[in-house]
Amino acid sequence: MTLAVLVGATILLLVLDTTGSLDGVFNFFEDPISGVMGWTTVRTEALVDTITGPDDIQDARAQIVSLQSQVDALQRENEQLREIEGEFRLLQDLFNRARESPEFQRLTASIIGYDTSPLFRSIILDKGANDGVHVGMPVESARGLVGQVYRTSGHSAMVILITDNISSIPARLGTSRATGIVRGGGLGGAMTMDWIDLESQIDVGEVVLTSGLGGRFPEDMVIGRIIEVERYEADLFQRATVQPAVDFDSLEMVFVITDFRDIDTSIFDSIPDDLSSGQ
Amino acid sequence: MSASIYLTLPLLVILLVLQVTVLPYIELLGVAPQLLFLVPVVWGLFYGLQQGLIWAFIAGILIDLFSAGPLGATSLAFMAAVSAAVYAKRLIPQEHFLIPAALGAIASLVFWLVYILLLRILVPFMIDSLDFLSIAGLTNTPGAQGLIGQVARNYGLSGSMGNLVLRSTVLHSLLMIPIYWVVTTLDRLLRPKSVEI
Repeated sequence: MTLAVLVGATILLLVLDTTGSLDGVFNFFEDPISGVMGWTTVRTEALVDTITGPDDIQDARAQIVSLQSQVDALQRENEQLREIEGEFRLLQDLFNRARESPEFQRLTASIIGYDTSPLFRSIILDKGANDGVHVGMPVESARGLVGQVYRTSGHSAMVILITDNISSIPARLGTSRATGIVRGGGLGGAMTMDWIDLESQIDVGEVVLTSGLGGRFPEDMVIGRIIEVERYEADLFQRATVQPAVDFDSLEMVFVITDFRDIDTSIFDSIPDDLSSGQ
Repeated sequence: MSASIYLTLPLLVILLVLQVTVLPYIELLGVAPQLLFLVPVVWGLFYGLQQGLIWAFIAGILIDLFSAGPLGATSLAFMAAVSAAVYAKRLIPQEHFLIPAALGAIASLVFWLVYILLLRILVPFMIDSLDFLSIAGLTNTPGAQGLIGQVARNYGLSGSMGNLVLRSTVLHSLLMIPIYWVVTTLDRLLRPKSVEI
């Protein structure tokens, strides 16, 4: 009996569904169920995400580590490139300087140390007597005169800077052609040009060059620029403060001038006949 | 003691390399610390005047090898400084953590006074003997002699020099405290333990 009722009901539903008469019934039951299903699905996915999450986080962490190492490598590479660029510019400046006066023989040297005493201003180069560097040789950078080789060993040389207290260089001004001696100021003092003829008209901003007198330095190497002039009528000479052309704090590479043609003073070596006969 | 000597000689050389290459970039109070000065002072305070003088001599020579100053001037000044510190310690018997700082200040002041005095005396002779310096060929002229005199007078206790001495003294007296502590610890570790028989 029950079986007959159930089979009859099933057949009835099939017929009604086939004819489309059950759409309202479907809507009545489906809407609330689909709402519950949607809610359940969202929570289920969240639960699944939570359960399967650790694998993704680990992947993400691994990716972060990998990317971070790539960033580090790129940063290192960037720093190296910047350093190479700086070195390139430095060498380009030096090369340009060397091209200005090709008659000099030069040796490129790097600065490897500084004076151990704060009372002296000297630098230590990585080239020494074995490389052909000798005491007294002038040292220049791309911007101008740096100093003079003071002491050498086999593989290093000490250079006394032009700003040191014991440095004295025969100099000439670029425009007025007045001559004098440029002295290093030493500790806390400015570089000065002394013994300038009182009658010379010198101006602030004039370029100070080596005069070449004495034969220790080549002519016309840039030393610096006049920034102040002290002129008193009562004095025999006037004096000027000189700003060095070279920034000694940022020096990295220099040229040691191993050979240059100094001013020919051989004319003074022999005494003229009329003077020698008079003696 | 011999173990300490083997330790100190390489230490001085390492400090010299640092002094020439690294420390010029690490200025404290506007002056680079002179570690090669502090080590002999501490050494003298620990092991007595004679040991201190030996290390002051060696450290001074190492310093002068990489300085434009006359060779030996720093040694003499270091030795005077070590002597002053050792004698001062005898006058201050009590132990206090600030005592090394005071001794460092005394040593630093004595070093600078002696060093500047030596430079003032020796630099004119040095310039005279260095025939490559441009003015050397003119040293017999009154003008050049005046110039050399000016150079020598720059080594005096002028404003900037006094400023340097003051800053250096303060820095070295402060640095004495950690260095003294390090040497005390090393000494405790390396000194052979006494055994009663």
